[in-house]
Amino acid sequence: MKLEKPIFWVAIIALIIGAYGMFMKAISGNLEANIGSYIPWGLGVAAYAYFMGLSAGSFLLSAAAYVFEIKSLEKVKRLGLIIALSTGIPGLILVFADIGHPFRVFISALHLNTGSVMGWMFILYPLYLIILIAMLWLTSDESRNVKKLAALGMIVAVAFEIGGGALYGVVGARPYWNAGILPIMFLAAALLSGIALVAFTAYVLNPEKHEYAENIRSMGSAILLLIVFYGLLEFSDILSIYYSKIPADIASIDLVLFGPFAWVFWGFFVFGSLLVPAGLLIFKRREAWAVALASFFVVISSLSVKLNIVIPGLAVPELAGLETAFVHSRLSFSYFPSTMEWLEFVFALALATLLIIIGNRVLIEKKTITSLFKEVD
Amino acid sequence: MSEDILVSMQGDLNRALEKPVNERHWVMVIDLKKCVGCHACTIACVSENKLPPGVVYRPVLEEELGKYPNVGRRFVPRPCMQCDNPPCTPVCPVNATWKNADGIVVVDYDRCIGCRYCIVACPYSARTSDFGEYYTKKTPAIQPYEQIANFEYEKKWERKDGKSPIGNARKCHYCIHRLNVGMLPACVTTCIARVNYFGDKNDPESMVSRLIANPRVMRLKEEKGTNPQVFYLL
Repeated sequence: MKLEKPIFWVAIIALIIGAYGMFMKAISGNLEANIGSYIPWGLGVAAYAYFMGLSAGSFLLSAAAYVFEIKSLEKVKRLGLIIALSTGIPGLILVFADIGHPFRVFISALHLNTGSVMGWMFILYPLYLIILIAMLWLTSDESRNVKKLAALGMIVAVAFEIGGGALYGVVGARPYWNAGILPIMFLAAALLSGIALVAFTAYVLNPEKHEYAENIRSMGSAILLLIVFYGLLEFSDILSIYYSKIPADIASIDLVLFGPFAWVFWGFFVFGSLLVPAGLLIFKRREAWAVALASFFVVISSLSVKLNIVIPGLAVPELAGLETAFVHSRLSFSYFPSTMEWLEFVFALALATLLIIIGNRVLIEKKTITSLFKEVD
Repeated sequence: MSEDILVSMQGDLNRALEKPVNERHWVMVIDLKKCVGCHACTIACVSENKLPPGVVYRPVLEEELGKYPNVGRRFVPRPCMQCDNPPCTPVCPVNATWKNADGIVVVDYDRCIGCRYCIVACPYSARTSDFGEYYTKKTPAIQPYEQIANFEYEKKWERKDGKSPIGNARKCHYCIHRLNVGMLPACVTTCIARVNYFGDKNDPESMVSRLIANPRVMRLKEEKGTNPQVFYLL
C-alpha cells in the first residue's frame, strides 16, 4: 500500500493545526512558551537541533553518494538532497521564531562575533542553504558534475553539525554539557537520524519499486552501525560523568535516568532509538520494510536525544536557593512545553513532511503538485 | 562618632568619578554577617529598573543551616558578579554584551537578538530574559506604572509594543545610570543594615579596597576562574 497520500493529507491537517501555534508565536513571542530564565531553551531549541540533524545527516549521505559515486545509493541521492532542504527549512524557522528579536538578526549580524560558536552559525547556515539549493538545481541534469560542490557542502554540513554540539559543549557553566564528546555525538546522531529518514522516505514513497529496495537495504547496514556507535558515545558520555561521583555534576544525569521524565530516555531513546531498531535490523536486515520500520523508530525517537541534552543541562540550579529566592513561573527549574510550543513542533513536522512529498513529486517524479490531489491510488 | 558607611562610600564614588573611566574598577563587597534577609535590595532594584515579572537582578538566596536545636539561616544576595573573565560575553553571536572599561558587564539592548545564549553561559544564573510579562496582565488594563520608562544604560526605555528591553537578556549593571550622575546603586542605598559596600577597587583609599584584603573574603565559584568582582565577607 502506498502511504504517500494518507501522510500528505495528515500533514496538511497538521500544518493547519500547527499554524495556530506559529500565529500565537508571531503575535506574542515567547510569552505563551513555558521556557523561563532558568530553563531558557526548551522544545523549540531541541526541535531545531533535531531538524538540523536530520538535514545534515541526509545531506551528508547524498553528498557522499555524489562525491564517491556510491552505486548502492544511486536511487536515493537526489531524494536525500530534497529531504535535507525540507528538514533544514523548518529547523531554521523554529530557531528564528524562538529568539526574542528575530528580525534584528539581519542588522545585528553585521556585528558578528566569530569567537562565538553561535556566531559561526550565521555564516554556515546561509552557506549551507545556498550549496543545497545549487546542488538541487544542478543535479536536475544528471550529466552535470557536482562532486566539488558536494565535497564543499559536506565540509559545511559537518561544520555546522559539530558546531551545533559545540554550542553546548563549550558552556563551562553546565557540567552536563561541557564535554568534548558532544560535538561528535551531534554528528553521529545527525548521520543516524538523517540516513534513517532517507531510508524511511524512500520506502514510503516507493514501496513496490525493486531498485529502491536495494538502496534501502544498504542504508540499513549503515543505520545499524550508527546505532551501535551512537549508543557507545551516549553511554560513554553518561558513564564518564556519572562515575565522577561529584553530586553537582551528576545531578543532570540523575534527572535523565531517574527524574520525572526518565521515560523519555528509557522509552524513546533506549527502546525507540536503540534496541527496537537494532533488533529489527539484526534479524530482518534483508527486508526493506524492516529497514523502513527501524528507520521510522529512529527518526521519531531521535527528538528525545536532543531533548535529553538541552533540558537536563539547564534543569539543575547553578546556586542553591535560586528558585525560592524570587518566585515566578519564569524562574523555575521544571519545564514542560506549552500548547503553543507543541503546536510549533507539529507545524515544523508537517511542513517538513509536505516539502518532502512535494519535492519528490516535482523534482524526482517530474509531476505537478496538483497531481497529488487528482491521482487515485 | 564615626562616619556613616553610605557617606564614606559617597566620598569614594565622587573621587572615582573624577578619574577617567578606564582608571576605575567598580566592585561590590557584601557582608553576609549583617544581612537579615529582608529583600529590600531586591525590591529597590526592581523599583529602580522597573523590572517586570520574572526578571530579577538581585535575588537573595536563603539557606537553612544545621539541625534543631542548632539552626541558622544564611542570606546571600546575588547581584551580577561583573566577572573579570565573564563567560557570558564571548558566547554572544552579535557582540551585544561586553565588559566596560570600568569593570561593569553591560548589554546593548538595541543589538541583542534575544537568543539567550548568555543566560545559559552564566555560572551564577545572573541574567534573566524579559518575556514581556506584566503584573496586571490578566486585569482589565495594563496599569500605566508598568509601562513607564526605565533609564538603564542612561537611555530611556519605554515598555511597549514588544520593544527592547522586552525580548532581551537583562542583568544587574550596578545601576550604571545612577553611578554616572554620582549616585550609589539602589541596592546599596536601600539596605537597612549597610550590608553592601561599593566603590572603586583601584582607589587604595576606598572602603572596598580595604575590605577585599580581609581574610574573611570569599567569592562564589572562585574555582571557575571567572574572577567575580562581587566579594562576600563571611
